Amino acid sequence: MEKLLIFIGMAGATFLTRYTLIAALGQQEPPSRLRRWLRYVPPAILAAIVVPAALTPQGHLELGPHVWAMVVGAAFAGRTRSALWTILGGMAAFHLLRLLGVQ
Amino acid sequence: MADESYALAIAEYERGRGNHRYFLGANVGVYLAWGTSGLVGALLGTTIPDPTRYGLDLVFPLGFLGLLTTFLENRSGVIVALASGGLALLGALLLPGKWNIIVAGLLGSGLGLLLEEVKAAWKNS
Repeated sequence: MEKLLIFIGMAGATFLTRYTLIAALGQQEPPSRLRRWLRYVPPAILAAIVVPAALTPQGHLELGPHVWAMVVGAAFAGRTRSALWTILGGMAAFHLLRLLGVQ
Repeated sequence: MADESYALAIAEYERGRGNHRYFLGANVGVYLAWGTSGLVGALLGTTIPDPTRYGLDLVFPLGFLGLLTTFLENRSGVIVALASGGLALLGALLLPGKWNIIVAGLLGSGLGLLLEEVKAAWKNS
């Protein structure tokens, strides 16, 4: 029962954080400066997720298979522009390296 | 709306192909996959002792890497990504939790706007 309440509460919280901005700004064109700033948010956030995931998979700096998998993934990303091929290429590289004994 | 479907849809918009149907499709796809894999995970999750051994923690970063290229078509996008990635790496070593992503994302995107304003001011002077 308590877990159910937590689920409902979190559903409300996650809905409100998304909906309030849309409700506030969705009706009219957002101000020009805000719009120009928002265009830089995707590359900034995506890079902020990707770089630490490659270089600090356990919270500290390490040059392991994660890095090389990401490098191979970046090559796939550049060639195919496809998230799916990037995942497949990077995962293939990761498992190949594990098979070869790279830790 | 989930991070992944939002990123997918916004990348389509950036390529000039985005529309609300694609956005809805991405969201429905994520919700279906989320629900079913949540169920599978609840039933079988304990049989996989350490998911990181199979590199499963790499799947989402790789997917985001695939989407990132869409935003690197112009020079300011590249500068923003490099600055934000560097800051996030530094933050990963210094900040607790995932705060590095928020901080680097805000500073990196702010830098993009700043560069744009400086460039515009330079042109007008």
